[in-house]
Amino acid sequence: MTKFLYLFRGGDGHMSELSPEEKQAHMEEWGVWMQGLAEKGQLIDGLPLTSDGKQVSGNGSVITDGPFAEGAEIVGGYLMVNAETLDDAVELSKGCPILQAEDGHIEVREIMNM
Amino acid sequence: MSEISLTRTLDHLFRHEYSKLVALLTNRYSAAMIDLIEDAVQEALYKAAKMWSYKPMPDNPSAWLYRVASNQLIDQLRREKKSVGWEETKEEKTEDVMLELDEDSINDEQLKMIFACCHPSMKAQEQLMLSLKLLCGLSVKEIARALLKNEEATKKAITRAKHKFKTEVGELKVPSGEAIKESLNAVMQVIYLLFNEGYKATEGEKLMKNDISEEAIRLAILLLNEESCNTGELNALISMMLFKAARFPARTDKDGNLLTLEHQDRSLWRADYIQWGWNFLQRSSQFPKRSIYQLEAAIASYYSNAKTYEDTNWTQILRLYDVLVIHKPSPVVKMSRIVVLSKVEGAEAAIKHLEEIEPEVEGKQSFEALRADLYAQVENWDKARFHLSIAIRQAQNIAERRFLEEKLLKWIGK
Repeated sequence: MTKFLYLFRGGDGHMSELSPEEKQAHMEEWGVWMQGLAEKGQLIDGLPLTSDGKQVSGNGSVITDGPFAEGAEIVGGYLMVNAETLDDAVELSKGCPILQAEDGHIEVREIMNM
Repeated sequence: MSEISLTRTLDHLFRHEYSKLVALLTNRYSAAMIDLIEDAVQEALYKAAKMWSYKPMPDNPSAWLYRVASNQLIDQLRREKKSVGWEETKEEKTEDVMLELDEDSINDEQLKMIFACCHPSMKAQEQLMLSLKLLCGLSVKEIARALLKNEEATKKAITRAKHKFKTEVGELKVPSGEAIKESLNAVMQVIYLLFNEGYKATEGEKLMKNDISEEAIRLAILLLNEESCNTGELNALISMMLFKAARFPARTDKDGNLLTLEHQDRSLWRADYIQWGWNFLQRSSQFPKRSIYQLEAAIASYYSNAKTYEDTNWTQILRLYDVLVIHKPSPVVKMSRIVVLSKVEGAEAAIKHLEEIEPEVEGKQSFEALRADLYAQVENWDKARFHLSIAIRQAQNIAERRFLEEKLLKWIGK
C-alpha cells in the first residue's frame, strides 16, 4: 500500500449558495463517500481548511495576507488515503462530491515512502 | 407525548437548526438585525457542512452551531464598527448564553418568532413567505419553487416583508391578554395557508410540498407549548392537518400522476398520523368553544375512517358540510359540499345546486372540472366534454392538466 494525498480545490462558492437543506444533503454525500473509504480501510486522515492564511517568504521577512487566489485555486481541504497505485487513487477520488461543483477539482499526489 | 415523537420524525437537521438559530439570535439581539443574523447562521451552517463532511458531528451540533453563529455575528458587528460599549456586553454574554440552550427556551424563542413573522403590519402573503424563510428555513429559491412563483418576485416580496419585520416588530414577544386571541388567529391562518400550499396538488416538486405541510404541523405543535395558545381551535387545526397529511404517500402514483381519493391505495395512508389526528380531535372537543377548524377536522376524520371509497359515510359528511358552509361560505367549501351532495342525493340534484353558486365561482378551474364530472355521471357527454375542455385550458400546472386530459381521452366517443 502507498499513501496518497488529495488536495481539494474549488467547490466552495457553490456550497455557500446552497440552502440549509441542500448543505445538509451535500454534507451527507461527503459522509457516505468518506465512510466508504473508511470501511475499505483506505482513509487515513483529512480536514477542511479555512480560506484565511498568510504567505511567508524571503527568509521569513516577507509576510503577506491570505491565499487570495481565485476560489477554484484555493485548497479547501485535504485527505490522505491508502491505495495500491496512483491510478487506483485516482479511481477512488472519482466518487468525491466536490466534483459535482463546476469549479471543483482534486489533485492526487503520491506521498513519498520514507 | 405524541408531539415529541412526531417532531422527531421530521428529519431536517440543518433546516430546523437554521430556524432555531435565527429565532435565538433575533431574540438575543434585535429584529432590526435580521439580515446580519441570517448571514451569520448561513455561515455557521456552511462551516458545519464542511467540518462534518470530514469528521463526525459533535454530540451537540446545536451548541456548536450556536457558538459559531454567535461569534460570526459578533465579528460582523465589530467590523461594522458598532458602538464599543454595546458590543462588549454582548460579547460577554455569549458564554452564559451557552448554558441556556435547553429545549424549553428554544421552543419559547421560536414561539415569539412565529408571532413576529405573522405581525399584523404584514399582508397574509408576506406573513406566509417570511414564515417559510425564517421559521421553516427555506431559501428564496425553494420558496419560489414551492409556491410556483417567479424567483425574482419572491425575492422582492420577502425583502418587503423583512423591511416591515425590521421596522415594525420591535421586541419579540408572545402577545398577552386579549391581544393573544387576535394574534393567534392570524398565526393559525398562516399555518393553515402553509399547510394548504403544501397540500395543493402541483407538478414536480412533490417532496418540497410535503415538507411545507409538515413544517406547518411542526409549527402548530410548537404553539401548543404556550398555555394561552392551547385552544380547541389549535388542537382541531392540528387534527385536520394530520388527517390530510396521512394521505400524502398515496396521493401520486409511481410516475408522479395525481390520484384522487377514489383511486388511492389506502394501505399507504399513514396510520400514525391518523391516530394522532384522532387524539387531537378528541382534545379539541374538551374545550367548550366549537370552531370551524373542528368541523373541518371532523370531515377529514370521516374520510380517513372509511376502509374503501364506497364505505365513506357521505350522509354524515354532508351534515357537517351543511354547518360548515354557513360559517365559512367560501367557493371551495361550497364546491366540496356539492361533491358530497352528489354522493347522497345524486348527480342530477348536485348539478342544480352547482348552477345556483355559478355566479360566485365562475371561471374557476375546479368548478368547471366538477361540473364536467357531474354531467358525465348523468351521461350528458356533450356538456361533460365541453366543461372539461374549459377546465383543461385553465389548469395551473402540468400534473393537473395531464390528469384532466387523460379523463377527456376516455370520454371521447361516448
